[in-house]
Amino acid sequence: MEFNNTIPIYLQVINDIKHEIVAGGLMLGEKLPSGRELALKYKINPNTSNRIYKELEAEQLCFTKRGLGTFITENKETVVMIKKEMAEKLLNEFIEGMKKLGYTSKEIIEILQTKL
Amino acid sequence: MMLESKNIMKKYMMTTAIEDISLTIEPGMIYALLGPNGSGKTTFMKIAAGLTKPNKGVITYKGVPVGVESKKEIAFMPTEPFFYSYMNIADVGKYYMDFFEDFNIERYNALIERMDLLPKLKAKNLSSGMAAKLKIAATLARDAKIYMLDEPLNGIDVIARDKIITSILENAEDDKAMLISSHLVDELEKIIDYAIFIKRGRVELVGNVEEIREARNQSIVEVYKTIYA
Amino acid sequence: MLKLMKYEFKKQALTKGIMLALVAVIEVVFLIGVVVKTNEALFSIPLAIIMLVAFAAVLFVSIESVFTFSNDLKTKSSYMLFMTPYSSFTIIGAKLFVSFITLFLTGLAFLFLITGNFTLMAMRIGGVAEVRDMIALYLNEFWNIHISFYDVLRGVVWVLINFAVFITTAFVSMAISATVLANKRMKGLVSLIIFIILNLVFTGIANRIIHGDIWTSGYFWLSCGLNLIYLVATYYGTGWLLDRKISL
Repeated sequence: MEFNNTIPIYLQVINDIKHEIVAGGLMLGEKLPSGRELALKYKINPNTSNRIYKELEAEQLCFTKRGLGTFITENKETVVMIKKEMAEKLLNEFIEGMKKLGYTSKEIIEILQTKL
Repeated sequence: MMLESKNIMKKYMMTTAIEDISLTIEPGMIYALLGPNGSGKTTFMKIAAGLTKPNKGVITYKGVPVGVESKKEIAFMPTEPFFYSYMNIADVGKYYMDFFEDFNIERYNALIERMDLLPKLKAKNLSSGMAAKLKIAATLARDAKIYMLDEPLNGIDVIARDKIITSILENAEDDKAMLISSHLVDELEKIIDYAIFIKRGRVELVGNVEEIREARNQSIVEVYKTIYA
Repeated sequence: MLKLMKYEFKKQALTKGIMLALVAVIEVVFLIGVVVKTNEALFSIPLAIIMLVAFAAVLFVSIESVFTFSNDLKTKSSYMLFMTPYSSFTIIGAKLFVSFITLFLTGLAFLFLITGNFTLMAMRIGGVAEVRDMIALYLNEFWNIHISFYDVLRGVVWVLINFAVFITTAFVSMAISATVLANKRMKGLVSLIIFIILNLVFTGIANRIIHGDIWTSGYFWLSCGLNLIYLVATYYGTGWLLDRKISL
């Protein structure tokens, strides 16, 4: 994975993991790699990977079972919510970008209709 | 803290390599030691390794000035090739095994294989890239508490750099610290906790890299450029 | 320390091998000369050469530690040696021991070789007595030596002590040049000058204390004592310099 070194690494990896959960690459309840394994997989600092799991856990995207490892949530609603959040973010960025180019809301809708 | 440098000063006949360096190295962290040629990075590492004596100041490991005892737990890898010319790769392993109790020959052999090196090759016949890989294999095969790597990525091709980064990460533990100096700042960006910038023999800045990214929206490369421009 | 010694030997293995090969060649010529009934020169000349080579080889092979030390300080393989968790005193001590062992083994080996050769020659010429007489004559006429056990003892002690002092003085000279005078150029020349100066100073001091021929019994052991003090001082000096002032 290519990283942007001007943005915190942990945020980028969290984003990547969220993508995989939403897109189905990671299944509900699936076991996640250990902190060390995650660090090696993405070639990042081990402390960063620990932080990644802490954040994901705080967002209730994953949970740790003592001695067994870290697992993705089994709660479908959480995944749906994440999907909405990520879509929202993308849409906001898109709209903002289009507005900066000078498009009006009406024009944006028209373009979208032709595209999709 | 594990390693503490207190007001180190080192000068040679004509030049002052280090004016005043004070810093601490904590376990569980990976540090990048950054700065242009001649800023004092290598000299600092050599002093911490007990291979050079400072004119002033002291570096302590676990509270005791570095010396014979600290050499048993601090693994230093110099930039230059340094193995005896009569040795082949297997001999290097035996040498380390003879002198360092924390040396793990299985890890050495595994690293040698990962780097595509053969045990029978003579050290003096290795290309600069292979010699660099050999140095790293020997150093990382030690189960040391502090690793100091001086330019570990120099002369290494892009593919092998990945292998070395992986090998370095495999050695990272909560009770170990790593100090890596490199010109290839962007290669190290993802794996380090802190960046130590040395300028004209002094510590210019010590920064937590993720915090720098969060606060300044800058990469370490960009910070580097602003400091040394 | 044994491990340090092991690698000191390994570093010097190549030159030993070459010397061994050389001597082996000359020895083969000698053996052929002794066995085949031809010109006496075919075995007497090789024997003479071997004795000369023995003398030179024992000398060279024993001071090789000095050359190795020079390499250890000058080249990048200094890291190899000084990164090991040993004090400089131990490192230098190991080198000294290796020098002694090398001197002893090489001397012994050549002694056996030459004795064996002389025996073979005796068998060829036809009489041990003749050979012994020949040797005694040789020593007497050319070197004016009348052997006695005490002389041999003093000779051995003299060789050992001077040998050790030579090495430690060389070590400390190189250590001074490499640390205090840390100049990159002409390190060898500077070491040599320091070596000569140290020798002159010591000899000067020794001559003040001892008035007379050291081979006169009392003075011999006094001279040895002085050399011993000097030996300890230079050994300690080398170790101290390397521990305190080294800059690789």
